[in-house]
Amino acid sequence: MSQTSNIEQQPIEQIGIEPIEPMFIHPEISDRISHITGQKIFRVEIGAGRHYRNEAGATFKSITTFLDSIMPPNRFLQTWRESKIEELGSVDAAREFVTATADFGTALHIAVAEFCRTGRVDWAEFNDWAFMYMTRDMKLSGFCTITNVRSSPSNCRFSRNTGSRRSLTSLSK
Amino acid sequence: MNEKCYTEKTPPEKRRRIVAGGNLKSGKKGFYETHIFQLCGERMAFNETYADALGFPIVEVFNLAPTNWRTEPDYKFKNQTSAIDETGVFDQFGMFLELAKSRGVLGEPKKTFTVFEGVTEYGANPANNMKNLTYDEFTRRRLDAAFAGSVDVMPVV
Repeated sequence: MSQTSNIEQQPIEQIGIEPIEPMFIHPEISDRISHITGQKIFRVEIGAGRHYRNEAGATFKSITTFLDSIMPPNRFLQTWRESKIEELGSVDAAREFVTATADFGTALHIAVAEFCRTGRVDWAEFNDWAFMYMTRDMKLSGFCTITNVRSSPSNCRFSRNTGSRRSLTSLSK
Repeated sequence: MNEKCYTEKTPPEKRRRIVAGGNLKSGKKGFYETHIFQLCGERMAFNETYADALGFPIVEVFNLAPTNWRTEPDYKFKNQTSAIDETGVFDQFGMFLELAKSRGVLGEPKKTFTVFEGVTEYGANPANNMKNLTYDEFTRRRLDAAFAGSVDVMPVV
């Protein structure tokens, strides 16, 4: 009853842990906080909400997970979810919409980081994302996934497919 | 960042610069109460972690969201500082923190993970291969496996 597989080749849904690092830190402040930002931090999602863990093993709840677990249920959000399911026809479609929106949010963060880092954004590298965002009416299913991203956001490419947001984990490698 | 959206009419020496925290939102329809709570928590976490080292805290916090870009780029940009500090959000966040502490919500999850290890031979009891791991143990194993390049534990959720 055991399973052996290569963690590098598995999507985050199966591994549940990914190393993370900042996309951009301004040089003026990076030296002053290097003792903090130099730590290895992992994002952990293994069925108990999103947490962050440092090398020493200290575990921190994400702010959204914390708020979700303690704030009264958001009736507006629930109503919105239900209307989205009705509009798109299924729970899966609504989930895909939310994921695609999250993809867009991630893409936006990358563009901002790229702008801060280099003072420019090469839209050829964001072409699918830009094209799709500007030409569709927020029907984002089958949105874009970033691949081939290593340490530099400038290496990223967007490709239109049905990959999930978790594919964006390559960002932090 | 500039405190306000200055025009050329404001001389550079009169433009006030501020240190601000921002949270980008992908939704086009506006900002909601949870966004304000998130900013409140993010500001608190940032200041607790970085303010001493940097020599300054973040006071002002903003939400930024693109709107409809089909004709031209546009965005919503909202200063949420007063919404946090003057409408009770900061105090409520503090209460949520206390509630979370009292309920044991913060820190390491209490969830345990049942895993099977090794090999169960025909006729043997699979329960002998079963283990219950704490969140910390399970995470540590996965991290160790990640560094080693393999995963040899299959979780039973």
